Amino acid sequence: MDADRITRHTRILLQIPVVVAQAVMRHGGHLPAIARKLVLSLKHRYEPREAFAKELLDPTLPDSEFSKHLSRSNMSRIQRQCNPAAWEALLADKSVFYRYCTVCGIPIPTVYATFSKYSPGVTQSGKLLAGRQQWVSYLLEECPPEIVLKPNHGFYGFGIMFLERTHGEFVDNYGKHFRAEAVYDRMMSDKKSDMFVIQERIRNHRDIARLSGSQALQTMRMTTVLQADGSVTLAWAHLKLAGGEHLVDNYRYGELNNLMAGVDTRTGVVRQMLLSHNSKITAHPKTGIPIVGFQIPYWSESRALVERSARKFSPLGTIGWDVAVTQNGPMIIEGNIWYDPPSAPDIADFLAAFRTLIPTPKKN
Amino acid sequence: MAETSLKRMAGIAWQLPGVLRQAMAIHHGSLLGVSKRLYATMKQRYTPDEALVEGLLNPSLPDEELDRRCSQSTISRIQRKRSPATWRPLISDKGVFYRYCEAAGIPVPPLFAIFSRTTPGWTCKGRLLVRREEWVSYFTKECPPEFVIKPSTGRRGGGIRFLRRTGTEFQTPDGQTFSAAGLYDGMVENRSTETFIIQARLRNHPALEELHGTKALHTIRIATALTPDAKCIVLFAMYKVIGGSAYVDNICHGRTGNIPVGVDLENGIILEDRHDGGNSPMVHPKSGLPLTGYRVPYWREAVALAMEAALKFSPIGMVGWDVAVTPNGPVIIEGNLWFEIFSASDARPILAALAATDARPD
Repeated sequence: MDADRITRHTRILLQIPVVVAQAVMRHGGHLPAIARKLVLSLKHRYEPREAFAKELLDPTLPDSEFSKHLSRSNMSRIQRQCNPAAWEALLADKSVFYRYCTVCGIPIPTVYATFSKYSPGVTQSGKLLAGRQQWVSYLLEECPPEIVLKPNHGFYGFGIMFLERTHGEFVDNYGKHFRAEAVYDRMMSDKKSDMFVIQERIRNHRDIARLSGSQALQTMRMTTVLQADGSVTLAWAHLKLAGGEHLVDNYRYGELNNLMAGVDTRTGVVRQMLLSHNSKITAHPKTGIPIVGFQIPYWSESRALVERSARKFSPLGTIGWDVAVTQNGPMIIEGNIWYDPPSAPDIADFLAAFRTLIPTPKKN
Repeated sequence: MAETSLKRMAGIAWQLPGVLRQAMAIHHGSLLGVSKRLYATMKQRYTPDEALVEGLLNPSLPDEELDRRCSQSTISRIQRKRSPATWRPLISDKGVFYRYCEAAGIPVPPLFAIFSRTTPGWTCKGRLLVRREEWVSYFTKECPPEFVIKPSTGRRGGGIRFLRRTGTEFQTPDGQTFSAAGLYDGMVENRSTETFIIQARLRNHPALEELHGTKALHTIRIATALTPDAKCIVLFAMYKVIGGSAYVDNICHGRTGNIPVGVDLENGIILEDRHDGGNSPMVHPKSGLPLTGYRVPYWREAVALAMEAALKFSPIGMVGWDVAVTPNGPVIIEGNLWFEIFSASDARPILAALAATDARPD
């Protein structure tokens, strides 16, 4: 058994007791019924935590429901069949991704600088920066006052810092103050990432900001699939809405109280809330504004943008794009090869988009 | 001790006896004389194999010769420091490299298609090729009649095929014949790489074709380094002359019979052979025409192109560009992160220039 498998199996084993306890609390005390659902979900290659988040451990759910969903693991299989491994490098590292977007003319938030622990960093003007003093002076004197710091290999919004410089100091979104030296030290001492992107902070279109009443940048996940004839199918789209006070819109198994809403790929109108525990919501819990029926601004432009981007990144066959709609139009925030499977009410339509790339896409 | 260091030391220990024996035979030297040389080269981080092929184990070689050379390990240390690891695939994978260059407006040979063993392939018209029969039809009907197939992660010219379609067959310059299905199967069965690129075959500038007496594409290695003030310097330029019957110009420490010759950065004139002490002008081994003093066409444009490419690949700080001079001007054939400093160069000014342009903490 290889190391990856051992890690996966260990992770699953460790999740089981916590997830079973959570499921018993949420769905009532039918332990044998929940255990049966857990076994069934493992057979469909779901990790326990994933099955719980998708409400698949609910004993009242008919077994046939499993065939309407797609596990993370089976999604990865499809992604592996569509995307050449070597090309992952273009999306895995955000600084590389943004550079490629720039040369392709794909709109992205301006990259002010790229920080690297072990080699000189580079600023927007091409200047190389090395050492604490040069970076501190860059952060204080050259860098625009409002920035976002992103780890190059970050995912689910982990490690992102929103900073604003006032009176020679930086203040983050929680009101914590940092000296420029501390910002540098924080990047240098980060154990998970060797590189960071220092980037422009983007604001949402006013309609989206009003809907959630949040300053967080809320994006749409738009999943494209290339077709054999070179056309692009928008296989899935959902809107990620801030539900809590966080400045990132990632769902993270519901930890951040953020919301996900399915979008009609033709019209850009929100069709339904996703995930059953918030399926009864029709309006935003904070603002009371209806979510279902909300028209996403610049929809046709967003669609055209991801279709154009997908062609530029070909031979990568499928990418999950995070698109921010700003007051001036859409821009790409990131591209994901290993995107999560859509939480669609029925996955069949999504899988149909892969027909010309993979003759028989693997379902559960 | 790190696993890689242990592996390196084990590799060196394994090479030692054979290298000593060969060096004694080649240079007619005593065991003591060759061993002393070997010790001196190892102090400069040469592997025994590398020292042997570079001719550095000759006991009669002046010490100064060792000083003006640079081991691969020494230059690799600098290269590693100057290129962020996650940016390296932008250069090391040829498919990614050519797509990036095309998007960035850097002239490269036109890319016709990308073949992948496990995922759908890509054609320059945007179409994807999934099945064997689609690839067969692509080769016979859609692909231009003359092309090159390269492994995306190939090194030192390995696995490259130059092909010309005649009827339904494809011929290589050395007379091998393939069917379209054979080409497809060859790529599927090649386990050394996951993807291949299919691109246009370029020709040398007519003046160079006359000089070389061969149609094989010659390139100039132009090594660049970025400076802290957002500029670029050229470290050295070497013309890679194909000496034998090969169709690629890779040097591989002299194993291919190809010869690297220095080029004057100012004017593109081929310099005299340093090995020879500059006593006699070099002549081309195939055409017999004089090499020393030959002016490379489009020289300024070639250097400008390498510098432009270097800036477009920042923050990768050091790249060895292989630039071909075609009838229409210079074209980048590939970039190399782990380029060597050929023996024909004096490494001392190159290392000094690198030290002077190192982005260092204040």
